[in-house]
Amino acid sequence: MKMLAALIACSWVFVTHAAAPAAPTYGDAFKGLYNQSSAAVPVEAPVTVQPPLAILFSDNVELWFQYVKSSVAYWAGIVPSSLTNNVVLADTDPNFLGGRVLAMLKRHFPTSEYVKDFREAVASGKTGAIVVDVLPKGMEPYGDRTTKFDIILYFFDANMSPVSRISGHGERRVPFGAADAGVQVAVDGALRELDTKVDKLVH
Amino acid sequence: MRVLTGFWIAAMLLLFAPLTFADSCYDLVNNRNFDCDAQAQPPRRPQESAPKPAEDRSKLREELRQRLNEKSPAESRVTPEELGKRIADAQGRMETALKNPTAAGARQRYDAAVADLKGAYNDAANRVSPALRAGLRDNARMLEARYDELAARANWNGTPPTASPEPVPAQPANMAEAPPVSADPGDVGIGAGGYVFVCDGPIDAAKVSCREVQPDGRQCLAVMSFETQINWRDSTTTPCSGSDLARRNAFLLAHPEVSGAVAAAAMSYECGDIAKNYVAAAQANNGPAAAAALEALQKAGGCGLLTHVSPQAAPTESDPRFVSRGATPMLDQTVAACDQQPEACAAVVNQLRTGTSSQAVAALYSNAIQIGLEIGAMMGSAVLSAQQNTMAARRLNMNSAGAPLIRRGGGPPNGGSTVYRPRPPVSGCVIGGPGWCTAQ
Repeated sequence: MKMLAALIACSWVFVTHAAAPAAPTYGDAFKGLYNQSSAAVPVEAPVTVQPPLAILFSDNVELWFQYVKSSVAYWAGIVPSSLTNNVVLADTDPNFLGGRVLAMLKRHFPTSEYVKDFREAVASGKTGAIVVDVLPKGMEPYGDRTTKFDIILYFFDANMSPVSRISGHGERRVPFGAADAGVQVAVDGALRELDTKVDKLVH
Repeated sequence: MRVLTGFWIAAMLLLFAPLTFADSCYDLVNNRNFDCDAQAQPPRRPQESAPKPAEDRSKLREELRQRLNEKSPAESRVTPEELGKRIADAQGRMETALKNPTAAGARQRYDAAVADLKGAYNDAANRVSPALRAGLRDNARMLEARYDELAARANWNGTPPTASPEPVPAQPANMAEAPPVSADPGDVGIGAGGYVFVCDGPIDAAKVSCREVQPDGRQCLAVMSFETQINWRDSTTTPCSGSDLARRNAFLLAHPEVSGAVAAAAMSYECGDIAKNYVAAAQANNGPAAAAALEALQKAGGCGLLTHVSPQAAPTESDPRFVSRGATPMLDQTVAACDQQPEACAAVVNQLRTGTSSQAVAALYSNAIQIGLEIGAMMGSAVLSAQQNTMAARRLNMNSAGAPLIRRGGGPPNGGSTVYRPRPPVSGCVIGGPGWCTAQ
């Protein structure tokens, strides 16, 4: 019985006093990419693109991926590997978000390619670009247990000027006792909404 | 007690939801794991190690652009009027040669003019839609047949040609100065725009109803002519009657000198359609249609429109709007790798989806409960001395993730086949091995 009490106490220390990585502060979608505020881009304006397109991911995506990585590393130092919650690892793996977004965009624009920045886009002869931005909100175990994902696509014309901003939203309220964090469901929901809007608005 | 402890362990697992696995990265390009800390980027295969030289591609593209620009610059800028003049000029030289077939080199001049005529018609036909192309080819064939007949009458060995039943009329000096409806003994004539009019009476009558045959040779527009002046036009075209088309063809056959004007009219007609389509596509923000119309417009020599449009400067790499981006290691390891190997990426995504399936969750819970039960049993052993012999060897070492957590049986601490290792909750994932599909 004493051992059980000690184990509970130890766990409580982990939960309450461990310095888990803080969620990042997300910035403007064009930060580090383009000298303009993304707020000025017309919202969901019909847009015409001319392939091939460049696909860029914003710094916010990089921030989210780094946050996932640091969280994984942090908890790996606390929880024994045999007790690892593999479900939540699969749920939050950055490859899921990156792979799903790329697959959706390539289905619409088969000749599009990922590039690092606009200079590479122009150098590689792209006649338009899409900047993928993401605004994630993870579930809070003792607060709002809803995981939310907003995935925003900024379309740039052949002159590399932003012409339209199209967004998709997905969320999942994670019930008590669930093993996952609701990320895949939220990402799927956001991409489903985006897919419909791209069909409708992008020619 | 054991069950209670098992459920407590399961609850703790859920609290520790964020993640534990080895800090390994998965290289989608080479399909292997590597130590993320040891190297920021996985080594690539030799043939993939060199990044695609953007500069070389840029040079190649520029070279291609230049070659495209250099390709037949004269052809690409031919307007309908110029093509009409080329046809008329060729006809004029053919007629000159036919008038004096005994002159030195007349045959050669005639043949050269015929070649020019065919070339001009080919150029015109290549710049119009298939619908108009057929009409132009028909006109060209009629014209060639006409001149073949005249050439057959000429004795290129010195005998003067026999008199033609239908002398070739003189070519108008300037098409633009021709009257709107040229006077003709019959009831068929041609307007200044190169459109053939088929009328119900003499074309120069005080009032006569006519049909303006469109350059596609299929549609007709009803008009009223007052002493060769058109002062009423119907709003829409209708399919031409067979008799009207037959009369038009007969007129063209008898008047080869108007062929240039007719060809130019066909191209201008096409230009009008292209321009209308272009504007409509642009207003509808329809990119593919606008691009197609622009290409057709360029193919038609610009129709005199593109010269008024200043080309939009393409952005360059040094554009001040572009920010030189810093390092993005996570994007490089995930999205960039995914872009290079979409099939492997899709497989990873599928495995990650499987990793959150109900089966994976059930395996996770089962694993947690098993471990909890083992711990409960171990603690119970401390109380129940009767089981002391069987439970004494069990130890819990929560500080070493690599070492076996619980040992069963009485073997040595690190040894042998009696070591119990809980099965990983998900057994199907091979992407990251024990560390799961970890690309970070």
